[in-house]
Amino acid sequence: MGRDESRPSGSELTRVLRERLGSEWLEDAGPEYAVGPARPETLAKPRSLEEVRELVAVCRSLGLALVPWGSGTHQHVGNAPSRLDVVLSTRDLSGIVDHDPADLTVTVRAGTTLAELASMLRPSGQWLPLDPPAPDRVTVGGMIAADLNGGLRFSHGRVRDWVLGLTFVDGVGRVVRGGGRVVKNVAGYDIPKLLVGSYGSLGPVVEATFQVRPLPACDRTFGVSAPSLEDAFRYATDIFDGPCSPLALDVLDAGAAAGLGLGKDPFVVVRLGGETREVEMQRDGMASFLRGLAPLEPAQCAALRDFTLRGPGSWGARFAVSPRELVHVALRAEEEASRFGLPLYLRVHFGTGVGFVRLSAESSKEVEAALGYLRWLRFLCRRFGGFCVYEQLPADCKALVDPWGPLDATLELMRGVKAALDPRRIFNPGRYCGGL
Amino acid sequence: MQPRSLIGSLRRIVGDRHVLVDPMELRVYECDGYTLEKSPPEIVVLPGSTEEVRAVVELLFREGIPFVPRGAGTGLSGGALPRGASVVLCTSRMTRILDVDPKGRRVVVEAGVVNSWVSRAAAPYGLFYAPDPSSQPACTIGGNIAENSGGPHTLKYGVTTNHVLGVELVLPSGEVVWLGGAAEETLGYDLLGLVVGSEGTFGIVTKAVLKLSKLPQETATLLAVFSSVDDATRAVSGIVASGIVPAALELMDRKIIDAVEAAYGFGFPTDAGAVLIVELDGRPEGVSAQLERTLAVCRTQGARELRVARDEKEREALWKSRKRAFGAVGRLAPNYCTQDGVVPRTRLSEILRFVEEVGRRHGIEIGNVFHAGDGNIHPILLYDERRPEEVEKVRAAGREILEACIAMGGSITGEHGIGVEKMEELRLLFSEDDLAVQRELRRVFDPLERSNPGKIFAMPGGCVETRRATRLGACKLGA
Repeated sequence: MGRDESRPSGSELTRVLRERLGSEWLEDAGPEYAVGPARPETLAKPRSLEEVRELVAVCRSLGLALVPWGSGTHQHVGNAPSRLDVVLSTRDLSGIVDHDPADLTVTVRAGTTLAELASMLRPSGQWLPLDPPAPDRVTVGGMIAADLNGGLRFSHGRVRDWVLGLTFVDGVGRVVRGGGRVVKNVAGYDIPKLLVGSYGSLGPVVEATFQVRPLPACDRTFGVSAPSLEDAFRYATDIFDGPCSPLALDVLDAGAAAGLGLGKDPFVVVRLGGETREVEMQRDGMASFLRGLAPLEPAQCAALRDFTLRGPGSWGARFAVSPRELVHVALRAEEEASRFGLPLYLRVHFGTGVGFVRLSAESSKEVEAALGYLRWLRFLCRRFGGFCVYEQLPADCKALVDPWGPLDATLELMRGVKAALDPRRIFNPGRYCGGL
Repeated sequence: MQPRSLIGSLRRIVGDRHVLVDPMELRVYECDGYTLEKSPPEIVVLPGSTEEVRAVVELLFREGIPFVPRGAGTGLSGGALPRGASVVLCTSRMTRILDVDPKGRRVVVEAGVVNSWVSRAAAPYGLFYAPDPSSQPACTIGGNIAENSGGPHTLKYGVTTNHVLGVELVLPSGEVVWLGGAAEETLGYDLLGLVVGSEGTFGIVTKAVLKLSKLPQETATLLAVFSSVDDATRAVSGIVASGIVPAALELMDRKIIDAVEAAYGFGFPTDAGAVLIVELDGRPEGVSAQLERTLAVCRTQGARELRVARDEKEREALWKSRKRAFGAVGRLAPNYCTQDGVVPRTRLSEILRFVEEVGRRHGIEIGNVFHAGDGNIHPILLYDERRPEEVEKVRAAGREILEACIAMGGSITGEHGIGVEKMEELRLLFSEDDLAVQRELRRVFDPLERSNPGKIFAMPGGCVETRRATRLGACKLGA
């Protein structure tokens, strides 16, 4: 969407914006705030819900486009926004609002990092059982917006399962509260679900309430190499069907294992938690049929957790299929990569049907192969009831393939949602799937 | 279209037998589990497939006739009350379990499948469907999805929304869409998350993909008897504070114990102030460690008696007492109304004292049987519908209790929904802007508000208007 030619230039609007809001929490945005080719002029760091509301209201009236920004770790995902004037940083919107350990809930501002949240919960013996990459940088708001999950989804579900309520500012400039602060609540529509994974296209989340859980007394991660990827899946299936209740169960192909320093063969990672004796017995039970099962070092666990951001290769895609088809899809993905002549790094969350591939492609021939491969992978996933999002693509490739993939009949409904909450398309215009 | 030709068209779609118009038959559909208000529909349609639902909805859409989706009618907030629409679409014939996938731990069912059938179908594979509302032998999956139903075991396992992976939804225009599916995530906005709990205002769900969970290896079920409700709620806090998340943590007060005892004779001490049913599940080592801690907490809080179920039979008996509590209440009064407020766990004893005081003040008998572990109270207000002054008192007392829940930072409904019952209170919980956004989202799916009109949102004058607009042909029922 192009700019309206009759409007004043971007710089002029920026001047007006700063005039209206003062310059206390507005500054020039550096080049690090570019999203693809879009370069914002202004970095806004509101310090309160009211300042967020004011900022949105003024941007709306001036027709300036905003991108909500936590730490920027996942700003590479999606289409390049068609316009971008202001980065709304949540950096100065952080900290705990409310935490009564006995209620097993916590209310926190969006700019709080996951590591900060964890360190605030730990003294009460509690945690938020979600493990996205880079918790030292990823913010609560970013985790919600980009629906960032990790291996714990195997046992504890996803972000959507833990957000009880949230407050955001929509594109009309309304402060909207959805859900609540109690663990069970069906009053009104479940607005928080809508914001999870909306990639900032409906407005910035300012505050969220989560359900939390007691920290397991014992939490340990083990791994074992397998002669082939097929064997690795066989191990995982045995664990899945057996008496153990892992917190997480991941399978890595040889490339991913090597890239994470876990040997040169395909690898199975199993995280166990609970009472100490419970963990020990499960480990012993597994060791009886998985020779070579050994504990992982904390650094290896961290590298695995950060796989989608810092893993080997510079291209990345996330896929989801019916769990029944996961093994088939993963094996085919591996097989086909060698046919395309591409080094592949694969990680799947067993039992959930979700996986990640990373690729290395530098030369133009490799780039062409990588694009072909990703198209094929998306095709395969769609055939099995799923999708494949190309999360990390070189900027010039985003014009050649759709990072999100096609939407079906639901696109019309999604357009309706976007139109209701952001009728003037001021949040991340064009960034989301379907060009929303 | 005149009612007669409408009925004819409906009969051509679903078959003669599946369009009900006889006033005697229609009476079954005049209310759901919320009995404070009744309003018989003019037509009930019982489609047998998605295609029939689609054709019926499309016909109604063309004719400008709103409809009310209905499952088994066990809802407790009037969500299936035919107020504002005179055609009820009931899924009771859509009862096929279409696919059980033990490897992927998924099941695909039609909307009219009864909740407990799902766990029964999954049991041979060592799996179960976690949401277990007390009405589970009767309530349907479609109804559970509309209301985002809970149940005792949702404390550990989560409510319906955490276990639904996809739905087939017939929009009020007659268009059929799938939201979600067998994969755990989908592309784009989480419309599925929005539809679960939307109380039938986005259309009618015809199929669902549900997630199954692994049956725990070990389950320990414990009955703890206390002299007072206060002691019992302190034990609840103590258990949670000790780092245990029980599978279920239920409380029954003296009035309920008496009723259950009189009805079924489970052998509860009838002089007890309150009993807790605590269930722990998981791996054997973990369960035994947690059971020890739970018993210790209960003793510290003055438990008079602690009974651990010795076998599956004793466990079932304990759960039967809990799940039949509502039925047993029927012995105490001709009618009852169940409230569904939620408070932060730490405010439980406070809200229960308030409930007691409200009952005393209004001269209403109130029993309590509820999900103590997640702060979801269920005061049962007893009354006789033949005495209008009692009905009024029950409404007033219910409202006071919900207002208190809001004041304590809680919610007005944990699992029963807003329906028609709590429309006014919803406005106390949310701002005008919050509600405006919700209404706008509803119109994305249902621009003309044809699916379950007059529910959830109180509109100034809105209900009356809808009601007037929707009478079929010559009005034969008083508004």
